Amino acid sequence: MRGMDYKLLMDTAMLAGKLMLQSGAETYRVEDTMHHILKTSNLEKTEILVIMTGISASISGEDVAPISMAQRVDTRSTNLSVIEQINHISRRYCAGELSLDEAYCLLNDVKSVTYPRWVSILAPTGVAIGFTVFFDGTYYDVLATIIVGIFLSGIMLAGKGAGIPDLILDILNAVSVGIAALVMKRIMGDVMNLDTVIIGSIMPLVPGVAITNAVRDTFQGDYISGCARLLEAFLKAAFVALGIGIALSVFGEFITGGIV
Amino acid sequence: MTEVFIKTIGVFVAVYSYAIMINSPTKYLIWAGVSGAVSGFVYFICTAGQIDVVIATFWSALTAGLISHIFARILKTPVTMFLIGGILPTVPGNGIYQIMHHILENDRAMASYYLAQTLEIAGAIALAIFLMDTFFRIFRRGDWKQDSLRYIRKGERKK
Repeated sequence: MRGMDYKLLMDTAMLAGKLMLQSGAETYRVEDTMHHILKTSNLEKTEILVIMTGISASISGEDVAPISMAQRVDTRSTNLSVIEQINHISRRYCAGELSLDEAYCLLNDVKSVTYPRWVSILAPTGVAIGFTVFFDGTYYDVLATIIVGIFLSGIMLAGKGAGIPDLILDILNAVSVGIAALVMKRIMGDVMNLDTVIIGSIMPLVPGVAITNAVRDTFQGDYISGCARLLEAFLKAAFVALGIGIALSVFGEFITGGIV
Repeated sequence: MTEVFIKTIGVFVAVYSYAIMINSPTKYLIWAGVSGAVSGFVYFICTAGQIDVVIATFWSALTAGLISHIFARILKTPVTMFLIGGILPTVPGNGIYQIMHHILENDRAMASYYLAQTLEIAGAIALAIFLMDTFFRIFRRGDWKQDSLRYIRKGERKK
């Protein structure tokens, strides 16, 4: 591939890397994808360094001036559909099915999957209900969880809209779960098992994604990203626990009259 | 028997919804749910058979890893798509709650018991994921290998 537009190649790789990192891909996957894209230039030197908060990459060859780029990534969320699409595009590009221009255009057009609005809003409720059933919940527990879950879904939606930082949002969500569960306990009385309802309802908040990525990054030999994600997982878990603790200790007496 | 069935359905619904929460592509939602349901099924069978929670977690996460890697190879998509859902039933939400609950009750002994158990569960999940990743790396094939970055670099050095 002589006469390749190296600047565009670099932009393409950077865009792919940035999008993947923002969507919560594992660090080694980002490095791997960028490496494959840059390798299509057949230059001698392609180096990529990805950490959780940024990317830097450089390419150089005998008759090509070195090109280096750095990219800071601020926002991180989990969006598997974006990762899947970029994976697909880079595979097709590396297999020669797409030209560089086409790949760049496609990467620019990558959009998150959209569900019907009510489905994406009520998804946490589904998680809470499913796990309440799994953790030996009775019919009454499930009934309470439905209401707690809908309340949680509302709070999560409002929190995201207000742009509150993630960890604070975790506390807020957990507090709202605690309060809603206590109110349901007050209404339903002895037939409801407070523990089961709360455990089921905090399952949408537990750091499942962070744990998975932390393990995979760490065992891939990427200790910096692994540690960062491990810290994220521990902090999320601790903050969820803190939120529940706040709800139970501050509002427990007040709402249920000291059953807890 | 019905209990197993109902609980497996419960986990399926939960993991399916969780997959929606993390914006999985629509066509993989069912598969993520299946991965979670199988993992939850194994967890339930193990705990019902009086096996310790930590060991049950290990087997469950190991099954989740196996299923996810198989799905990822059949459907040609990143393995995280199914692995995140698969390990979700084993993530210690119960432990997190119990720690807080016992701290509030001023029962330090039980709090530290659950703290240790939660850490053990996290370790069991990590070990299971690691084992399955390693296992499947031995049997990798095709030109797009998961570890291809290091593989290519090794080749470069030889030249």
